[in-house]
Amino acid sequence: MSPREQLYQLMADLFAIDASELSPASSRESIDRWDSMGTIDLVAQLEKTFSVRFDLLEVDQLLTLEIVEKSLVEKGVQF
Amino acid sequence: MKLQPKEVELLLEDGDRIAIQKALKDFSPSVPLRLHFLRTATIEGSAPFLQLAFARRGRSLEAEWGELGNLTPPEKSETSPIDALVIYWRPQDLFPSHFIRHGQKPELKQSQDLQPILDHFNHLLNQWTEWKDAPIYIVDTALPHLKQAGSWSSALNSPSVLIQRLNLQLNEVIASHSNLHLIPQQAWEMTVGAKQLEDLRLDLYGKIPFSPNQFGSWSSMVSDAMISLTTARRKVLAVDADNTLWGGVLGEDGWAGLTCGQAYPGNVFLRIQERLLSLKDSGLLLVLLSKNDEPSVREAFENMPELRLSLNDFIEVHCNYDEKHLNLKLVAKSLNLGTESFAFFDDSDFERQQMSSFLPEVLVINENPEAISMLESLEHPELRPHDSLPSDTHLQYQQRQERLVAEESAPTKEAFLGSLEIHYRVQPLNEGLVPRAHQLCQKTNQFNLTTRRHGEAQLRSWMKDPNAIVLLLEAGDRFGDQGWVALAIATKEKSQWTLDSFLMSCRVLGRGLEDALMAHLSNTLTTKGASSLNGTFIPTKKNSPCAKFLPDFGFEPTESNEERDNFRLHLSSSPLTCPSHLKLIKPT
Repeated sequence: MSPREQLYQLMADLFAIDASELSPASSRESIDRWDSMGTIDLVAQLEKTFSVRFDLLEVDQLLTLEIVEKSLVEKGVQF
Repeated sequence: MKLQPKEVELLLEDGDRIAIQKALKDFSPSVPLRLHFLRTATIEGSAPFLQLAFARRGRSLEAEWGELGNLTPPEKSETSPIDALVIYWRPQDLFPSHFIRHGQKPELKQSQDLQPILDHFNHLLNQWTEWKDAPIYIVDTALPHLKQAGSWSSALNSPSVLIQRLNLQLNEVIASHSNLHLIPQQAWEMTVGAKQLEDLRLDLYGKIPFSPNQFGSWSSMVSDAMISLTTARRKVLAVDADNTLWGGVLGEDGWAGLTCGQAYPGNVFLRIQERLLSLKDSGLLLVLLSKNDEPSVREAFENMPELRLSLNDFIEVHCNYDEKHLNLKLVAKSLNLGTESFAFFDDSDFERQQMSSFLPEVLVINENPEAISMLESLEHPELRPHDSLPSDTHLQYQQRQERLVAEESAPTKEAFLGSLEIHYRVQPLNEGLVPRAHQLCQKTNQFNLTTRRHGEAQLRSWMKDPNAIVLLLEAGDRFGDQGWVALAIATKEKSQWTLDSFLMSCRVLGRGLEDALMAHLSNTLTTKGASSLNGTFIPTKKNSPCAKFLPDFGFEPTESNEERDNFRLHLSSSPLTCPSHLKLIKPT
């Protein structure tokens, strides 16, 4: 599985939706379970899966799947 | 596909949310467990982990989360009563200024500076002790993980001293209130370690008290601390001897070649014996099942002063070469207990596997023959006492065995009962008896007409209700006292009295004490002007021993259905007397 597929599958499993429904524009507004608690779960899961670490001030910026992917790239994950 | 308990343990330990969510899809027990959480930090992210932790105990968690920061217990709900209240608090949330500004106020160095905080905490504790609608489980607290200003200072008003004093205050209150129970947060945090737990980012972002990677381990600890809500305690632990109570094999090494003592390697077996002794003192019965001949085992116990256990600590000793599951069944029969009440402790892989395949309901507590892991397995939650009431189970069963011997040697049943010199007294429920009455309601299965598991709050409300009678019976005989062993509850609705509950500990079956209690209840009702008493028998898998009690006592059958048999006793036409072999002692 490529890192992008891994990311999409992680989002789908975590927020109980189908991976095919996800796109870079998927956001906190469009995904029911992606609320502030969901963001914490997401951060914990991303850190575990990709062995990265998010800064405190970054956490609240993770508003869309595109931003999530971009910040993972900045942390050295190769998509 | 149903997960095995071991797989669930591993999933919780690993703490992967997605794996847990997937596991929950295949694992949904039908019996609900309603918990209401009060908290000063955001722990609701642990919900799926808690769900899985309770699912392995057969319960489907329904969690209610109060408002963050509000530690006031909820109003009583008649429609959906909760099974327990869980309180998660942190001192840094309750008293932030003391933690944040500590160290910047050098003039505050005295222990009395803590007094306002301790008074405030005491006020909270009072609020919790007055709330009686359900059991309350409260976490104690550990030091904040980060070296916040002054946390590690030795000043008498430092956060570390404060935390010790808050925990002491909490423990003192829990020890004196049977409705309050501890969730050992501090011990858990020490076990996991601050480096694994600490995540200041998430604490500052959303008051998440520790890393979400540890939610699984935390949930496992919490469900273990609350095991008395979900799982019956095992009553008997069957224990092997060779390489379990001592190092070495008696048949090969002789007693002089066995190891058990202060020095390595015997010290681990000494620890095992000490732990077994404390489990026995807390009410667990010990049985010795050893593939040795009995004289050799006796010789070993008599000649090894370093052993902590003596043969008298075992309620039964079976030393022979029969298969252990057969011996265990004999013990179960002799103690009048089901094999599902047993746990098994043996270093031999063969013996453990054989036990599991013949009697899968027996809990095998150790997974391997390694001595340290065997010692650790004695902390199994199903062996823990459920309450802090004093226990003399071993003595009770010992006296029971002596009575059986007396019964066998008596010419008739009447002569035997007469020779026991049974005495008893009956007393209405009072505050001091509430914990025991509650325990009887929760634990009694065999002689229990309706198996209604009333809580302490309900029992207390009946205590003050003129339309309710709650009587307890205490008994003893020449072999010893048996304590409060039977309970009767009658309630009045629209001028008709009904027997809500009638139950008696199975260890005093067959002495006529149930007749005595019913006679006292009937007399009490007659003095209150009642003319009849409705009774019900609700059959369960276990309560057949009392199926005939009501008709045998003189209750007449009324309309019945598949779920229950209904009866009525006409009080005026049935002058009731107690069996003649029982001697009534007036309440003191």
